[in-house]
Amino acid sequence: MSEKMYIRLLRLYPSRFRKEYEGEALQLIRDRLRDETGFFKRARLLWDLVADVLVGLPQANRNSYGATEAASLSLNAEGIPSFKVLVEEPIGRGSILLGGTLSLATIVAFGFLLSRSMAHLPVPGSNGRMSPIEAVVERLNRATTPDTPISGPEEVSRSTSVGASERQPRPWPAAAASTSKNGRMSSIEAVVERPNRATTPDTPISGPEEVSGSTSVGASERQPRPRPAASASTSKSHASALLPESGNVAGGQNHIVSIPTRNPNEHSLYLTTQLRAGEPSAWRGTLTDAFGRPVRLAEVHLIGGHGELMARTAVDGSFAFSELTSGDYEVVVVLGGREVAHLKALHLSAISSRSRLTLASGGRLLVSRPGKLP
Amino acid sequence: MPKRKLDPLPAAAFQIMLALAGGDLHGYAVMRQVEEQTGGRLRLGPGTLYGSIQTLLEGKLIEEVDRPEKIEVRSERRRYYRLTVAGRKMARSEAEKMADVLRVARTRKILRGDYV
Repeated sequence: MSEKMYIRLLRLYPSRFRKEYEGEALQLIRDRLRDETGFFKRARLLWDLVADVLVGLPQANRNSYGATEAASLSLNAEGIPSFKVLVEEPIGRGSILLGGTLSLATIVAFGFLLSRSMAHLPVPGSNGRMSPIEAVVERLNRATTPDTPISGPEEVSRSTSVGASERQPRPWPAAAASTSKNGRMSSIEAVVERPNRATTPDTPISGPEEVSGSTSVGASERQPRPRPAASASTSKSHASALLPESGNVAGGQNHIVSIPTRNPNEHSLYLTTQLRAGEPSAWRGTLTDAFGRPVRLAEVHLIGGHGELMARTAVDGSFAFSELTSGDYEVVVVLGGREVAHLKALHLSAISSRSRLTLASGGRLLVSRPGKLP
Repeated sequence: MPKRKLDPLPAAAFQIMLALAGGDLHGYAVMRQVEEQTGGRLRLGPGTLYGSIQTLLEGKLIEEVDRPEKIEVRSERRRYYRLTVAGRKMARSEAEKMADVLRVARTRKILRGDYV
């Protein structure tokens, strides 16, 4: 057995023993290696050392290596409590490694908990129907606009299409409410008010013709359909484009686009866009939550073939894109650095006061100029 | 504590005390002395040797002494141990206990007369 091997064996002994006697023990081995040569004696030495570890280890562990100093200390200060320092050596490498590993594991576990999606967890103060984002937004709104009425989902239709529902007490807002009462908003909803006839006198399309469900735009406009059938189809298809029959709206148009949130259990967010005369390529809108309350400090991203455009919502939830070209857009709403809502395809073409908003198949929203329709 | 560990006195500890009774010795010399006085039956390994030495030190039966001046030939640092008065007393009482055992053994004809 070489000296190095015995050094490894010595590691089994208590550190205090090694500190005290390691040099002596190695010296003894060296002496024996020097004195005992030959196969038989070396084999005997090896046997001795192995047996010695087995016999001597328990004894070395039993000894209290600080007892000799502690005895004199206790004689000097008898009856007075005194602290005895038994271990005076620096922290071992093993302890540092263990501590480091445990700290790392704690940090990793904590980081994992933080990075997990907390969307499914209820936020204190919110009822079961609200998502955490909505609860936060509600609290923010309550702080800024305390007079904002907080009620059920019926608010959606009322606040987002105020002009139409007040001037036109027609049953269609009730229909819209009925779709949202069951808690599951449709993926795409478009509520379009009739363009003002004064500003668009050449609009050749009457009310019922404009109602289009999930069918293509052209077909629904060329074949006039009776209104009851149309409204039934909209409620069935959950993708509704509701039009009042005779809209004399003085302002612009309100287009409500529901953007599905990332979490399917949450309510959608709503984009209300207003198209005004004289602003052909501008797209103004308001971002609201399912209860019609504005969502502020959110980023509305339009990702299209020409790149990405971004507008930030103001306190009242309004945002504006000044230069928009026609084409297909993806709409992404980012709130607090996280993508909260995503609409795959929003088709915008030639937005103007004459534009008409219709819903095409596949959740595509068409904003088109009537004159160019086939 | 040390008393409990030394009661009964382990054979290795007793042999170390006997070895030191002849004079101050360092570790390796103690080991050689023990080997010699037991006729080669007991060879103390380093763990047993220094473990026992530590036990005896804690029991104040032996003590560490400065290196004797006469052995300055080697540059290796060695610690020398000396039997204390208490250690000598204890070794004697242990030997007497064994002598009693021997006497009994002899009266029972287990041992023949040519021993001690």
